[in-house]
Formats: sequence, structure tokens, C-alpha cells
Amino acid sequence: MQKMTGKQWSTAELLDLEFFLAGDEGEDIDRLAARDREIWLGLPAAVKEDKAGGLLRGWLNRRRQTEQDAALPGALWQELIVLFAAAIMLAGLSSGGGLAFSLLAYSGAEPVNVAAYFAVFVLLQLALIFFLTVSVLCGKQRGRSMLESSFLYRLSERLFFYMLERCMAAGQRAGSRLSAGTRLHWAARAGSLKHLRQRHGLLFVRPFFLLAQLFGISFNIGVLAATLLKVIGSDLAFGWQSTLQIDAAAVHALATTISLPWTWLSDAWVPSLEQIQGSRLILKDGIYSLANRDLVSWWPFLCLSVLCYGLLPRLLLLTAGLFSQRKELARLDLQQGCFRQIIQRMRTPLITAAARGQEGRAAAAPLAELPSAAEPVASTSAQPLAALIPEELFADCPPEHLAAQVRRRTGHQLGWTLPFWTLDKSEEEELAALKAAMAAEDSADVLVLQEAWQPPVQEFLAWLGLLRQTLGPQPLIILALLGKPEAETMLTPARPEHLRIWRQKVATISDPALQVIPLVS
Amino acid sequence: MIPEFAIVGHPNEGKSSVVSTLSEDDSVRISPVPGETTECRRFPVLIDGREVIRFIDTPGFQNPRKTLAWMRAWQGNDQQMLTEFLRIHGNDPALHDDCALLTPLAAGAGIIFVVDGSRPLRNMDKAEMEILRLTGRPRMAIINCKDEESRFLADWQNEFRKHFNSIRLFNANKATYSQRIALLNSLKAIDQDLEELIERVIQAFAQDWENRRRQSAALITAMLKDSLDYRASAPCPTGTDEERLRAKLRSTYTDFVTKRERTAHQQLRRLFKHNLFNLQLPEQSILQEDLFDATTWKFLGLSDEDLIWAAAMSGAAVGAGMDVLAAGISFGVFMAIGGAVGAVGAAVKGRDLLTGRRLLGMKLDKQQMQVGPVTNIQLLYILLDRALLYYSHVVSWAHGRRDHAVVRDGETEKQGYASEWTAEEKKICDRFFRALQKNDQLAQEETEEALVAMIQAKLGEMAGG
Repeated sequence: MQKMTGKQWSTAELLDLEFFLAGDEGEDIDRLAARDREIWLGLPAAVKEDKAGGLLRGWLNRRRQTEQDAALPGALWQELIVLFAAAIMLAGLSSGGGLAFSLLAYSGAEPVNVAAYFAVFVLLQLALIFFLTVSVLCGKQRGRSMLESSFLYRLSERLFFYMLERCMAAGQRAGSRLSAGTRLHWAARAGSLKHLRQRHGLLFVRPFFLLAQLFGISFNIGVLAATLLKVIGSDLAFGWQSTLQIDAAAVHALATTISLPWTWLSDAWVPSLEQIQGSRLILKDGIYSLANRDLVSWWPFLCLSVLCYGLLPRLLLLTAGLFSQRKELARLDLQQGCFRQIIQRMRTPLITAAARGQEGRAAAAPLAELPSAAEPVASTSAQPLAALIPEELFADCPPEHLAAQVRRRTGHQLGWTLPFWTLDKSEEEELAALKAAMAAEDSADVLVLQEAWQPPVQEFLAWLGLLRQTLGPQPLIILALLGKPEAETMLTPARPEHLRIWRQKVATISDPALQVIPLVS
Repeated sequence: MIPEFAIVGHPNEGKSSVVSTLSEDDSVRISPVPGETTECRRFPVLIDGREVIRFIDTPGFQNPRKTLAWMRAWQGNDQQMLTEFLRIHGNDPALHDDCALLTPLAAGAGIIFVVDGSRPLRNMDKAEMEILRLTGRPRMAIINCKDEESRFLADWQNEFRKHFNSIRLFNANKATYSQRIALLNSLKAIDQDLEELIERVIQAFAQDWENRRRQSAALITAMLKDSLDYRASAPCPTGTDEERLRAKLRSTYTDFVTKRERTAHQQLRRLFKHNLFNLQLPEQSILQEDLFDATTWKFLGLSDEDLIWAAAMSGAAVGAGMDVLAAGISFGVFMAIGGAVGAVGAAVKGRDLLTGRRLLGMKLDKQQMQVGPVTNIQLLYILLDRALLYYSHVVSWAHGRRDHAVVRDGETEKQGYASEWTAEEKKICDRFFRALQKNDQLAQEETEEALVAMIQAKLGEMAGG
């Protein structure tokens, strides 16, 4: 895992990066290679020498410049977050303030009920925070993050996936109404959502958690501001009442316990036993007998309760959320296969096979190990690629032809080949052998050969999942597709409609570092 | 017992097309995206409301290797294997399709294994064949070539011989009635127990097909009768814009015949259980042409060829010439009928024209203008030919076919059927036509019966019929 050097990535930048990556899917790989190499050539020398993070940022900036006219999701995201934050703060302030104003209505007949104020503005919030704490503690035991164990998050996640599943199930039931194409399209969409979730964890979800905290903070500020305004600008009286014969001493003990966080500062911010006794309201006696001094003794206690039990925890949660967002951005894994492809393409020189005077129309083909005096080839592609070939095609696929085609098409050096789905070994044994061989041969990535005309069956997709599990998250898996074999060669171009089906089907398994390419153009 | 057959195979091999064609049900969903079918669907074939055979469309194998490995490891009773497999894996979503397709087999259905013979044979296919062998159910294989590719056929046939009792090439997009019957005949061979049942099904099919031919012949004859017998008139007092009235009457007539013909064609389509089939023939096809267009006449090559040909070529010019001869009386009549039908004008000769009789029997006097009944037998041949052409398309259109862009070679663009009939056969048409003209009820019934019988025989002679 590579730590970012220099400036940290922002959520907006990441969104744009994902956007461009998604746009590249299904594009002609020769065109992509030419484009990325051109970007690299245009970068300042300092950036060219930079590590993955710097190079990627250079690439992103260049792509952003070329797509200036398009509305990029990063900018949209930023604008939306600012807009949401403003709206939520306004909503918090007005709801907190409004609620406080209405609770603090006092006309001289009946004082404000301390218990009601406390219950609404302190107990309710405390209960919510308590709930969050319990679920976080439980979640921690199961290895979940704070956000993931939040009740609200889990509820909305459950609801979302429940709805998704219901929709899918309904779609399956209504098979006569929903075509396979539509089903596949939606499954691919759901797959790419999972992609994002897997690759970036909670980066795109946490901002909503932060917004919720922002609401809590502004709500509490609204309550405090309204209470203080009322206290300053109008005559308020607070009292407590109960049908039960509760002793004032018990109430005092409770109030003292609640005010523990601030009594060390001043005793004046908690009502004394006499004041509590003096503010007890018995409705049939009215409030005329009660002393004004006792009736106003409650407000500092109430305000400090809101501050300590409402505002402060929300501030803490906001800080913690911001902190973990930064932390997650800082440990962004730029060695993931999908990012490495871009870097690989940038660092791979192009050779142009055309006669002089025709360069403009020539097809550019990447060639990894061709050294160029002007642009030294970086060492990213030095690690050979391991190729997995279905056993039934293994004999018909001469390694030298395959290697030449792979080099021409992907810029990768083909190291060695291995058959899969053999008759004598189990899948697990084959993959264990692959892993051992990759370690021995120092291969980073894998190419899997498959025929595009074969429908992508569940069994093959499950096998791809197993392959990923064996290799770990970083290696790039290139699924190279072929067409129907000809008499003289296996290496024929795949049909576009078959490619499309494979791409959609592969997208359903949510593997960000799995790339589907036609091996022959 | 109703014989039941599950159509199984790898995804996207054309199983649904085969079921659709075999059961004459074009409501089966078919698409080029694999995985269109996710649940089994039963397609009973009903004859007179009685179920005679049942085909089951199934999803494709998704985990043949895993399924085969499990079956090979099975130690228990062979009879129990499928049931046990379904019990253990029934709730595994990854094996949903495999379980769905094996369910009818566990219930005793026979197997029709479908492969696309235009692609190479792979290990997965071998695994699937082995699974089917292990089920112990009677089975046959169908090679349904999706592309015009025959390089791999020999491999398939060799492999099939090891696993199946019967093999057939069957193109679900082109299969005719007789090919379907041939396929049913092959099914007899896969299990002796089924032989008698299938034979009965085949007989029921043959009878049903004969019925459909009889009904088709009756529908066509009824359409002919209505069209040829049609008349419409309008008062034409002095001072009326005769030209407009003539044009109106003519369009009333053509509207009626066109609509009546369309209705008959739709009835034929329904009789052969086509819902999707929408005839879209190439430009030059006679069915695309207007019934009253000269090209229609030319194309069918009916009688007095030279005259029709010449007239069709000069078209309006002939019409204009006749107008001059008719010295104004017929002025505009020919123009109303139009250059397009000029060919017809020539065919009915100048004398008829001078007396005011026209192809459409349009009469003109001071008081009444009438169109129909038709006075030229050519219209009968045209309508009949078009109906036969339509019929030939309906019967040769497989229910599993979903493409609507029809490309036909020049060979099938035959001239009208009637032009090749014997004099005796043409006489039957003549008698029918004359009986209509004379309005002789008794003769009409007799000749109608003869015509129905003749058309029925002609339908029987047609390819696919």
C-alpha cells in the first residue's frame, strides 16, 4: 500500500478519477494507450518522475482540462455538499430555535416546565447519542467502523439493499416483462456501485454522516441562542412539578449528578436545594407564593445541559468524522489494478508503424520494452504477465504468437502460461499453483484468455472471483477475449455484441481491477 | 399420459426458438443476450382443446462442471440422484438455473438437447452431455445452427453419437411443418415407451394441418366471393360532377377489396397461430404492391401476356387513346381508372370500353352510377394468387423466428401460381366467376365447393404446407 506523497487527494478529485475511469471502460485500448502516452509526454519533467500519486494527479488534471466544458461529478459533488451544508445548517438553526421559543412560552401564569425542556433538548439527544455509542461499541467488536455501525447508516443501507433485492427479485419474477438485456444492464449498474463501495470504502458515504452532525450542531446552537435570547430579553420563570411525592432533595441530587461536568467551574450553575424546593410548582396554589429568585435559578443549568450533552458530543462526532475522512483519503491505495493501468499506459512508449508522410493516419501501437532515447521506459511493466488459458485451447495457442499479440495489444510482457480448468486438478489446486508460480517468477498481473462467443456462465464468473481471492486485491486481471477460431489461428477478433455482453456480465461481479479487452482488434 | 420434453442446453443456443417453433407459440421470449430464460415454462400443444404433447423451455446450464462433479461423486441410488441434487442445491442462488432445468427431468420429462452447431465443441458441452447421460432420461440432440457455418458440424455429430439415441439438424428459424413432423418422428426412436404416444401426436398434427388447409381454402374462397360480388352505386342526376363521383365510387370499391383482402390474410395468420409475424416482403414482392397497380398484373403474368405487357408499358397513353375513341362519353372514366390500370383497359378490349363496361363494371347513365360487380376475371386470379403467396409465407414462417427483415432470393419471387394451372383448374375458377356474375345461387354453391377443394389441394402442394 502506497502512502500519498504531497497534497492529499480530495473526494471531488477521486470522483472525477472514477468518472474518467468509467468512461474509459469499453474504449479501444490502442486509443487509450495513445491518449495516455500523449498526456505523459505533455507533463512537466518533475511530474513525470513522480510516483504513482503525482502521475495520476497529473493525468487527472490534464483530463479535467480537456473536458472543461463537461459537467464533472467532482465539481458537482462539491457544490452539492456546500449547498446541503448551508441548507442543513439553516434547517437546524431554525428548528432548534423555533422549538425552544415555543417551549419557553411564559405569560406569568405557569412557569416553564424544567422537565419538559430537559426531556426535549437533552434526554432525547442523549438517547440518540447513547444509541449510537452502543451500536458503535457492538460494531467495533465485529470490526465495523463507527459510521458503519451507526444505526441510521445500517438502517438506510439495509433499506437500500432490501429495495434493490426486491427490485431484482421482482424483475426475475416478471421475466416475461423484463428482458435479459435490461436485467444484465441493471445488474452491471448495481455491480459498479458495489465497485465504488469496495474501492473507496465510506469516502462517499461519510459526508452524509458529517452533514447529520452539522444539523445536530446547528440545532443545539439554535436552542441555546433562543434560550439565551429569551432569558435576556424577557421575564422567564422555570419550575418543576410532579404528582408523585418526590422529595426536593432527590431532584437536587439528580441535578447535581447531571451538572458534574461543570460544577467544578462554579456551583452557581446548578440550583441549590432551597432553590429547587422554592421552584416546585403546585398548581392549586399558583405561583404567587414562589420566590422569583428560585424560579429563575434553573436557566444556567438547562443551557449548560444542552451545551454538554447536545452540542459537545455532536462537535466531537463531527471532528471524528472529518478526521477519519482525512485518514481514509490519506491511505488511498493507488496500487490498485485500475489505477496502475493508467500509469502503465503513460509510461509505455508508442511506436508508430507507418511510412514517412503518413504518420497522421498511422495506428499507434504500444510496445512496452522498446527503449526510447527521449522517453526512458519506466520499470512498471518489467514484471512479466502470467497468462491463464483454458485447457481445451492450450494446445492450439502457440505461446510465441500469444506473447506477440499480448505485447502488441496491452504493452505487457508475457512471462509464462498455465492451463486452467484441467481435468486432473481442482480449481483450488490450479490457483494455488498459479500463486506459487507468480511469486517465483515475480509476476504482478494475470491475463485470462477466453472465447467471447461463449456465454459468460455463472461458473466462470465464480472462478474469476476465486482467482481474485487467491491473488489479493492489487493484481490486475486482464480478461482477453477472442472470436471463433479459424482453421489457421485461434487469435481472431471477438464480435462487438459478445464483448458488450461480457463487459456487462463482468461488471456484475464488482472487481475494479478486472479489465475486459478484445485481444485482437 | 402426455409426453413431456424438456429443451435443455448451454445458454444462448436457441432453446427458446426451438420450443417456440415446436409448440407454434410465438410468445416465447427470445433474445441474443444469454440468460433470457430464467425459469422453466411449459408449452402444451393443444389440438381441439386437448393437450397432446408438452414442451418445457428451460434456462441454460450455468455450472455444468460443478454439477457434473457432484453427480460423479454421488454414491447413492441412481434413481435418487436428481432429486437429491435438487434437495441439496435448491436454495443455492448460484445454482438456480441448473436446478430449474433439472427439475422437469427429475419429474420424468424426456430430453431434447439443443446446441448451436455453428460454433466449436467445448469441454463445457461435454460436461453437459455427460450430466444428461447420468440422468438416465431418454434423450435426443438437436443441432440448431444459428449461423451459416458448418465447419464444426462433424465434431458435434461425432460427440453426439456417444451420448444420444437420436440426432437431428433442425433450424428453429426455418423449420417447416414437415421438418417439425420429422423431428417428432425422431423422438419416437429415443424411447420405445414413447413410440405409440408420439405416433398419436403425429397423427393429430397431420389431421390438424389438414383442417387448417381446409379452413384456409374456405377463407380464401369467401374473400374472393365477397370481392368479386361487390357492388356500390350512387345517384347521378344531371349536373352532378361525374368525375368526382366516379373517383369516389372507384375508391369505395378499392377500399372494400383491399380491406376484405387484409381481413382474409389476418384470418390466415391467426389460423396458423402467428401473433408477431408481420409480413414485410421486399419491395418487388407482389404482396407489397397495390392490388390495382399495373406492376401487380405484370408480375403475376396472367393470360394475354403481350397485351397486358404492352398496356402496362404505355399505361395512361392507352387510356387517353380510348377516351378519344369514346368521343367524350367515356371522357374521364379512363383517367379515373388511371394509367396504372391501363393494362387492364387493354385486356378487356376496346369494344367493351365503348359500351361503358369497365374492369370494375362501372356503368354510366344519366341517373345512376354503379361500380361492381367486377367484369374481368383477372381480379379473381390476382386475389387468389396474392392469397396463396400470403399463405406460403405464413406456413413457412417458423414461430421461433424473431427477425423481421426478410431477405429472399430471386428464385422464390415466383410468378403467380395461377399462371401455371391446368386448363381444367382454370375452368373451375371460370365457372365460379360466371356463377357470381349470373347471381345463380345453386351454381354458386356448386362451384364454390369445387373451388374450395381445388384451393385446398393447391395449399397441400405448396412447400411447407
